[in-house]
Amino acid sequence: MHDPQRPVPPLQRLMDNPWLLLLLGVAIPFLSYTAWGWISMMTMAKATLP
Amino acid sequence: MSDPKLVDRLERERDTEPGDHKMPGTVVLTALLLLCFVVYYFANWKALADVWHVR
Amino acid sequence: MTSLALPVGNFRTGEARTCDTTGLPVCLHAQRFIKLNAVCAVVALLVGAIGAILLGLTRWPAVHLLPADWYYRVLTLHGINMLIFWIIFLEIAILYFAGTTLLKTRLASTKLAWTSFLLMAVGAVLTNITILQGTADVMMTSYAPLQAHSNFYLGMILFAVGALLGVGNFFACVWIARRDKTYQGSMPLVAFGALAAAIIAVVAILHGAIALVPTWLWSLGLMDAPDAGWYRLLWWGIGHQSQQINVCAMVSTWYLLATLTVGAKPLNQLVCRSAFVLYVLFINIASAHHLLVDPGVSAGWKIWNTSYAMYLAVLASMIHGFTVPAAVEVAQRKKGHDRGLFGWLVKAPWANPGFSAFFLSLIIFGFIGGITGVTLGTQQINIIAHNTLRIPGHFHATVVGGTSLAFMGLCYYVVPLIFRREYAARALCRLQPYLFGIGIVLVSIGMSFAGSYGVPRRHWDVEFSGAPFAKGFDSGAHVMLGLMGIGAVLAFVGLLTFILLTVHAVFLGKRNEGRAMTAW
Ligand code: HEM
Ligand SMILES: [Cu+2]
Repeated sequence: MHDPQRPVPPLQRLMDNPWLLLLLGVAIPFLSYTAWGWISMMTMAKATLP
Repeated sequence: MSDPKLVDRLERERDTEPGDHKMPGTVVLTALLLLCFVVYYFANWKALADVWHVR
Repeated sequence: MTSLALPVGNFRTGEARTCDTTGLPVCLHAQRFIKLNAVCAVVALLVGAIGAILLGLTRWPAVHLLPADWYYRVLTLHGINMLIFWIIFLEIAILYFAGTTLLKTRLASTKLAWTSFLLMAVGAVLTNITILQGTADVMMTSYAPLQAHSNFYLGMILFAVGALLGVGNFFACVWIARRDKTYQGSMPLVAFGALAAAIIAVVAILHGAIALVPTWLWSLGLMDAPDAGWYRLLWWGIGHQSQQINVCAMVSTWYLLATLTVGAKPLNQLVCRSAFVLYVLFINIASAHHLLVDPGVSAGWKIWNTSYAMYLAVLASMIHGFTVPAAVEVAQRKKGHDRGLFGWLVKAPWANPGFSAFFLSLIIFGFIGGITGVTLGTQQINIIAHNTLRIPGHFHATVVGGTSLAFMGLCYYVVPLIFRREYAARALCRLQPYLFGIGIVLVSIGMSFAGSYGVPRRHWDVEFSGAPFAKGFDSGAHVMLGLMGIGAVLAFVGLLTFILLTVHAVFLGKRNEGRAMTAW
């Protein structure tokens, strides 16, 4: 058991929330990689023939 | 397997004891890793520069 | 069974036992699924291993074993059985262990576990049959518009859904554990690492479903072909993420084996956990490094996703790369192995295959896998390495020399503790991690340097025999391909030794119920 004298640091308390981590862990790559990548692909102008 | 049992060690994995931070060997090992990385990374940029001429 | 009393936690009577060696509670339902998944993992490893030696001997130009069509068939077989089936079956087993034993919680749902297992097993068999029938020579990436028989995609989808259900069961265990307060404060570090792996698995499997379901419908003639660029974007959402599940599972295994073999404990809870959080938040976006030469995505997207935030994930690996050996050093010094800089390492239990596999995995992953990975993932450098043998050279140091070797080390404890059978031929067990480790280092180095000469990956004949103009690679490349071939033979022998020893132990090993396992 952890020492009750030493309080758990706030950052660690945040890490102790698995559901928040799940949410962030899914949202960040979905926005940064998937959604942005998809948009970037759809808005890319068609190459013209040389 | 050495005592104490794993279950007790997991219970106490958060406690700190004296001597918990003596690790000079690991510092040297990781410095070596960093050195290897620097050499390899630099060699790769060099190889790239050899084929990709910037004018 | 000695321990009739119910272990602490929320177990029901008759559904748990206390481990005679570690004192940890073992949920008997979870135990069954750990066994089932581990057995399937080893079967997939055997199929993949047969593929490995055939590929090694084909890419070694002096041998050039397989004909062209079988080379691509076996390449598909090897990639999928190793990277997907062996690794994910074992990871699901790890999740059952972490979700129950480490959290002192009973398995959330046996029905769900059966459904998950059956879907995964049926999916794996279906995909393998389709590959062997020669109707799916598309390699593991199955890039559209390359098309395989629909059963190939169906098998992969069934497997992925099964795996997702297994992950769901783990989250349900976490939920029950928190409801019943079976652990206080933070969950144990190894369980936290498993949680990180599970979160990444959710991301991976969702991308897999989005990529493969339309592709499956297309193979049935119900839809137009998916856009090639779109498919690659989505496919790497599962392809890259699966590797990061490996990383998390492997690092957790390192921490566990460090505790089991030398009694190490994590250096600093906050630091170790933040490193896992950095993985969860930032490692997935690095998928973009697979698309660095794709024309369809913008430069801004590539640069953001493969540098900046991504380096936070590299930082996480560097943290683990420090804290894991440091924990071993601290534990060893406390035991009195305190001489000089490296006395602790010299005096480490190198004859314990759990330890040697773990430490070799750490070294190979860090020194070869990590260094090549960060280099290859750099956008500018990628252009001189893309699609060369340098890429398989890199990942045979991460997922093979790193993850697979660590998992082998884990098996040297899982079999005696969960199957409660002892390994025989102990001397051979002690030798096995070295055989495999040295072999795979040669494979990795051989591939990497051959790749530096420009030798492509996924190429049946780098001699271009029969081409109207003589074209080929110079002798340096051939030396390196030979090195890879020799390494492949060694690694294959090491792998086969592991499989035979493990299968023997699981089915015929001496039972150790009622007493502690024989120490390594
Ligand atoms: C005895 C051990 C092994 C040997 C000798 C070996 C050798 C090889 C060789 C020669 C290739 C073909 C490279 C090419 O022609 O492009 C290959 C590909 C591959 N291997 Fe292994 N391998 C081994 C174990 C593993 C393991 C354990 C894994 C995964 C956990 C793995 C994952 C892969 C993957 C993903 C590919 C790429 C397939 C593709 O390009 O589609 N290998 N391996
Ligand atoms: Cu990747």
